[in-house]
Amino acid sequence: MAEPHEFFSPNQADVAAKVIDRELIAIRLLDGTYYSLEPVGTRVWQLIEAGQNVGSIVQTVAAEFGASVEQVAADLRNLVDELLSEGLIVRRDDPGRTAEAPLAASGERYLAPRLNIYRDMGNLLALDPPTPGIDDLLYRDRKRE
Amino acid sequence: MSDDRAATILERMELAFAQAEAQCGDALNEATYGFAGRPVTLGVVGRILGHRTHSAFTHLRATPTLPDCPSLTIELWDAGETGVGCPFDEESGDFERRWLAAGGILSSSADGRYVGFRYQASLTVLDRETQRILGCRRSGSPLSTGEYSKPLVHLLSVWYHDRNVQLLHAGLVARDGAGVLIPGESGTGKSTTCVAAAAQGLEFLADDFAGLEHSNGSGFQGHSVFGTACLRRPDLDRFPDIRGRAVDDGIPEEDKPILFLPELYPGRVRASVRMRALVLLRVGAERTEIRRASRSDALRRFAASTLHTVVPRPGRTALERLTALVEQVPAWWLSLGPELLDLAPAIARILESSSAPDEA
Repeated sequence: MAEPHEFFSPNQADVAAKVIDRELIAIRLLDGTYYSLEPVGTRVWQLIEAGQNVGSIVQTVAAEFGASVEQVAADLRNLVDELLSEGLIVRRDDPGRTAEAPLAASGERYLAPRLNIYRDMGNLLALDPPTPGIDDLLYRDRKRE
Repeated sequence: MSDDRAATILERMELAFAQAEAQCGDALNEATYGFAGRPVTLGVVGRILGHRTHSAFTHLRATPTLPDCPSLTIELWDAGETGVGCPFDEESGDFERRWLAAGGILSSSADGRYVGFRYQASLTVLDRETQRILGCRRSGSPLSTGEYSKPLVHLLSVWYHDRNVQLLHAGLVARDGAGVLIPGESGTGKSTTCVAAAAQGLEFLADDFAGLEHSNGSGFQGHSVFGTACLRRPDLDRFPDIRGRAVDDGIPEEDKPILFLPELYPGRVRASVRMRALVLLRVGAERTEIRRASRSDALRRFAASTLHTVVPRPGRTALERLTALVEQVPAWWLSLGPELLDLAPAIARILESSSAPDEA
């Protein structure tokens, strides 16, 4: 269970993620499972990316969305546990380098963050061995540089 | 395997190709094409293999505006017809790092310079430094549907990637050079939609694999990679005018006859277009309808269907590129009703309602 002093970061090695229109779309590259988060969860993701610890994220989200700290803390524990178990984030021993989080959208109502999981491609691909990624075939052509 | 050993594989393939050409030069079928606007020379020794390999690219024949120096040279030979065997048996032609992929073996040298693909009776290798593909077919056995309709797709995917052209699992049609990109997994209606669009006067570029390139100042371009479409037999039967011209190589388990669009619709198959709209298909609707899709709908659909069905898998840079695409190009849902004749007008409405990025 995530503690207030803990830091996490996106699992850069295995996950590609983008935020568009306040929705996070994330893909686990190895097996094709993809995920989405609605605005509150997306804001949590942005704050994780920015290097805030769990306690700080709770305070920020509660203030931005007008929710109680207790409710946000409980919801965040569940979300972080799920993000960890899906391999989308990893624990960090130290705060690392913090970054400026993007500004929050205003006027959004608080809804408990929920990780939407789409396993259709993952299930399809589970029938096949993992295919190599283009990043496995990195080649620097010095003649063309 | 050392990189020297990898280079030796290329050298032996080059020697064998030269020998095949020397012995059967009259069976050399050579032409120059424009792949995403880059000149590519394709030479095949062997009449049947030559005809079949060139057939997928006829719409990309080079124009005088292309530079003379090829960006890629492809040299293939048919061991059965030329009598020059492939210099490697089974895995002896693989490079050091190997993966099972797309029913074959994809391999690469440790430094990534050489990439090979071995599939049934074929071995092809790409040298990313000299921009050369060499390949042989060991016997006169029938080509699989994939080899015939989309030759060399996995090695070309690497070559395109090296030129910042992303191969996507998507159909692509257009009108007056304004393109509509249609992502989707197999069985979601891409091929049927693209063939129906061509049959009703729109321009065809792809039913399954399209190239996407972002050019500074001119937005996104979509490129045709193959001029073919493959339809399952029940879907092909919906096109009575052309179903008799589909090519079926008689591999019963595949049962996806191939249509060569440039033969069916001369002048309607284009090489490249500007991207104007994205279309997300929904099958099984009572009638054909369009409505706007959100950018997150579009990104989810694109990411799911393109990031894991292309070999090698595109990496995170592909997701960055797709995000930029959905930010610039409007997306639409197209619900597919039972009437094929409704499709082209629906796509035309989407194009009319989608302003060019620089007009938005």
